[in-house]
Amino acid sequence: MNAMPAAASYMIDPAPVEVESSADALSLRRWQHGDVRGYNELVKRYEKPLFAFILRIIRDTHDSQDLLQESFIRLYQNQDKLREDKNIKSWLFMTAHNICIDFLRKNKPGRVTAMDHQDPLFQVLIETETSEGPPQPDEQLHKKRMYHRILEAIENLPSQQRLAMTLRSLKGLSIKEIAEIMDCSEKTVGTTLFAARKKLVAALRPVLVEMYGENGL
Amino acid sequence: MTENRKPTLEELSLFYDGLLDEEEARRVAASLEENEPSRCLLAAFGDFDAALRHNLPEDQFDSLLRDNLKHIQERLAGQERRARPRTASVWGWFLNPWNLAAGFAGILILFCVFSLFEQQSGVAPQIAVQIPSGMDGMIPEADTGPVTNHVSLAEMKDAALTEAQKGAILALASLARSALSTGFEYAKETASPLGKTLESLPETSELGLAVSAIRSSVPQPAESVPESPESTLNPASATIARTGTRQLALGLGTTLLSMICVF
Repeated sequence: MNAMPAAASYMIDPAPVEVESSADALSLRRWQHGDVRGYNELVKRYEKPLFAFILRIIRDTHDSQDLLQESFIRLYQNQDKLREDKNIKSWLFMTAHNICIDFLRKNKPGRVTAMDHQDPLFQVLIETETSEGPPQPDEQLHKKRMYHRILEAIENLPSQQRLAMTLRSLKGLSIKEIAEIMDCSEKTVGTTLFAARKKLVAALRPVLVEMYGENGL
Repeated sequence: MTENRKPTLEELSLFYDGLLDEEEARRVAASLEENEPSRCLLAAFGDFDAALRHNLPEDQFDSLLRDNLKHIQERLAGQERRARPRTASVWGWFLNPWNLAAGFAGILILFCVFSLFEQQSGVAPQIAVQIPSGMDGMIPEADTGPVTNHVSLAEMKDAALTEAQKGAILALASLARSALSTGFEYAKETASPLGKTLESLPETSELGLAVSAIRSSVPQPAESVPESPESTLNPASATIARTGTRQLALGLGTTLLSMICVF
């Protein structure tokens, strides 16, 4: 339970921003020169991380698929406005976030907690986390329950802090890109994440004590 | 700041995000070796991220996104189809090279048809005019004054059209009238500048009367009774609607104009 990884592993994983950017620039150039394969490359490159992001906000696979498509349609419609020196990944996440916010305002204005999942897929996940369910190794079941409580606490965070935490949890997004998506400085992202973690640590102290022991915290 | 000072929660958070400068990051990393609570907090930060990731059905992403690109392309195609009628205007329609080509083709066909009828009809038959007996005295004296605007009977007979020519011209005129009427309705429906201008014409003006005459010559669809578009138009308009080729309508309209010029 208390197995601590080496200190170096805590450091943020440096996302290959430059490599992705140059590949994006290449795809964008092809697309803007009339080769639609450039657009298809961008879709294929970002559909999974973007879907994960949208799914985390919307929590419904069908709606998320719809909104994912809408995000890429916006990309298509803004072909002329995109420039090679702009980070397309950040642009896509920012657009997807705005689309999700609009969707939630229109369709689910009262939704505030994580536990009102409508999607059967999520129901299954929640059930396996909360119910006795089929026999599972104790540690695995314990971890799932802990995660469930962490998710509840994250849902109660202010929207900007929740967004920062959600973006931070996605693989491959650097702090710089998160800052671009949130339209703020990297320092502000750091401060927002710190504020979120501070609240989470306070709200989840019993859980963390259970996980790491009384001496740990 | 001593090397072994316990890092604050903020320092740990910034360290976790890689936002500390090199020196501070080294100091926090060194303090972690001796500081179990700080290590636990960093592990907790990792758990927060892991909890968010854990809840995603990533193993099903491939199947969920299998047709994503196809659906995007379908939606884009649908949007383009829907957007096309809104952006099309009558002026754009007239300036379309294909429509212009159709118009010229219409003129060409008209001349071909006209020359064909001209060849087939040949010289108009001479009609013998008999003057009843006893009427000689009633025949007025020939006017010996200067002849102005006088057309002789033979000239009139030569100029007379055959029944086939008349039929063809009337049929073309009817089709052209229907085409113009269809064009008016199209302009009105798309709220184009031309449609608005036609709507705003005073009814008493010459142009307004002409527009009303053309529109009233073709049955208008009743608004309250939903009928099929074909049933609300005359046969010529229905034919045009069925073919769905605006080029045909323009070609016929141009034909009418060319006929006016020719005659």
